[in-house]
Amino acid sequence: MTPEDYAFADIATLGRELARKRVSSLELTNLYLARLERYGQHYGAVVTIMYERARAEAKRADRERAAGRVRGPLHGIPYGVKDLLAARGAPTTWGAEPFRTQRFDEDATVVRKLHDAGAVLLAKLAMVELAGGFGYDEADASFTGPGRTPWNRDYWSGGSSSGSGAAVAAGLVAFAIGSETSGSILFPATSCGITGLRPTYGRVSRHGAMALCWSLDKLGPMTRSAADAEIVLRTIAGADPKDPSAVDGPFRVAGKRPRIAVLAKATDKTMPAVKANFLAALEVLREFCDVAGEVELPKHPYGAAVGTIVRAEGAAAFRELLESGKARTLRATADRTGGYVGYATLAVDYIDAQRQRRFMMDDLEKTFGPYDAVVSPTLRTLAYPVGPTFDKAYPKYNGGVSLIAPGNLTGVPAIGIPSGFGEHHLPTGISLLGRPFCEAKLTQIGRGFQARTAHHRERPKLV
Amino acid sequence: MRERNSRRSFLATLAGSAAALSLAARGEAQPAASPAAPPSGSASESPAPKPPSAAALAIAGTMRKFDAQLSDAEIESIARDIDRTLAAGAALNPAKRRLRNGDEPVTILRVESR
Repeated sequence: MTPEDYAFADIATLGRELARKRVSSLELTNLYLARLERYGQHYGAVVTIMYERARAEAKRADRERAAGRVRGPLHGIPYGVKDLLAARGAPTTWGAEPFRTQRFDEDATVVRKLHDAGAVLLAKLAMVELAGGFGYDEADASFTGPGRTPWNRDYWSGGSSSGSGAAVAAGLVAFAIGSETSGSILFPATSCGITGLRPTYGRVSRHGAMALCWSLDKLGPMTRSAADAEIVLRTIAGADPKDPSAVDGPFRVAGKRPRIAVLAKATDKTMPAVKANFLAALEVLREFCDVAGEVELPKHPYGAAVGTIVRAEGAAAFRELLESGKARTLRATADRTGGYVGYATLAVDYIDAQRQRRFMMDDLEKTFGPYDAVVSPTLRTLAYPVGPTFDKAYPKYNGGVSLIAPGNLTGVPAIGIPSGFGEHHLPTGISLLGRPFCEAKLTQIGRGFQARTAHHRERPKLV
Repeated sequence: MRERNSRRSFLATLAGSAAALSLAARGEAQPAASPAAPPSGSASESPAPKPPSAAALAIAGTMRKFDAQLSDAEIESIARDIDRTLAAGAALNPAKRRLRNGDEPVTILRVESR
């Protein structure tokens, strides 16, 4: 294997190479550190490279392996985390100027679990400031500048887990952790052409993660493949006394031929490449799944509910920032004022939004319950260009049906996987929405899809 | 429905009075600002944004106590988004499918013995 082969290898391959002693964890770590140094800022993907901690963890992994102790499939595997997760040895900036020197003297639970599993923390990865809670409307919304997709630097990597998406896609880390309140794993996973897994709400502890929205925030893996996503999720999942929302849930798997429904009107208002690749993906899914007819998304005020909840909880989470007037130092123009809109949210509207979620959960279960997953394109468009505000990027394709808000409001899991490429060689993706605690069904379908396609193995030409 | 409407009306009346006082005192014009769109692209561009309501302008104006540098354009932008938020709020308890008294919100509360 060449150094580039290692940089883009999946977790199982890296594990095999480490086990056969063809490469050490320290060598892998140094390879990724060099790539982070060379390309990290160029793609707006990195905030802090953690040389010291990474090399110490890699040496520990090598020492243990030499002594016959292998902690699991992530032993010696280097990774990065979105910079909203606390980690000893580096600032935790939340992507925002007012917090750029903030430090925590403990590891987030996810970081601790990965450390205990033998993984090697390389870097804190860039993100949209405050995970986008104040309503950013342009790519340049982080104090580190805009995230850029490694497939074409003129286009945004998506957000808010921008750096996690770009770093995995560019082979700067073997895998990354992102977070999603409403779309922040699936969006950048699609724009960067990687696999993103949004777990069931409560599957992964958020202790040590920046809170934007307590009733919606989730942490999840961003990886090269569905198989990798499952390995990482099983490592970071589980109850945590430090996060009351975190639980020990079952990992349910599907039967031999998973049953999939197609979201009705899913290709309305989608760009031609997104539609063509989605239809081609359905043909691949039919090879190993029972793909039933279309199902309609139950009618509910998803947009109003998710907007109201994020605005209200976000304003509470960052009340001190708002009241200090330091929101003015945020990067994106919209973020300097967006928090004040949340501050003025009516309490009754917030409560009504939370009341609506019960009906959404019941109706989604009734409609989607008979299936292992519901499939749709993840995004209606290709990656947004860096520069114009989002509403001006692809005005023809605004609106339409999406599973992102319904999936997040109901707390169900989803996996985003690459489905091909469109204009300017920008990636497209499909999403599979599952039932609560059925992530393993989603990764099972993802593995089947990726065994029959090669989109996830393509490598961008870095410049 | 009546109670919710009257609560909104009350807020609007109260804020409207404050706005009138505030605007009259400052005697300043409010320039237009373009609306923000969420990342998933659900809003379409409006050629001539509607001016914000007096109520929303009054509420937005109070945010100057936190950031005295908020410009008139920023206040107007906040106000326009407040109007949009209030309109969206109406969709959360629509007349066609009214929430009932017993419809509880999703909450997380853990009671521990200490």
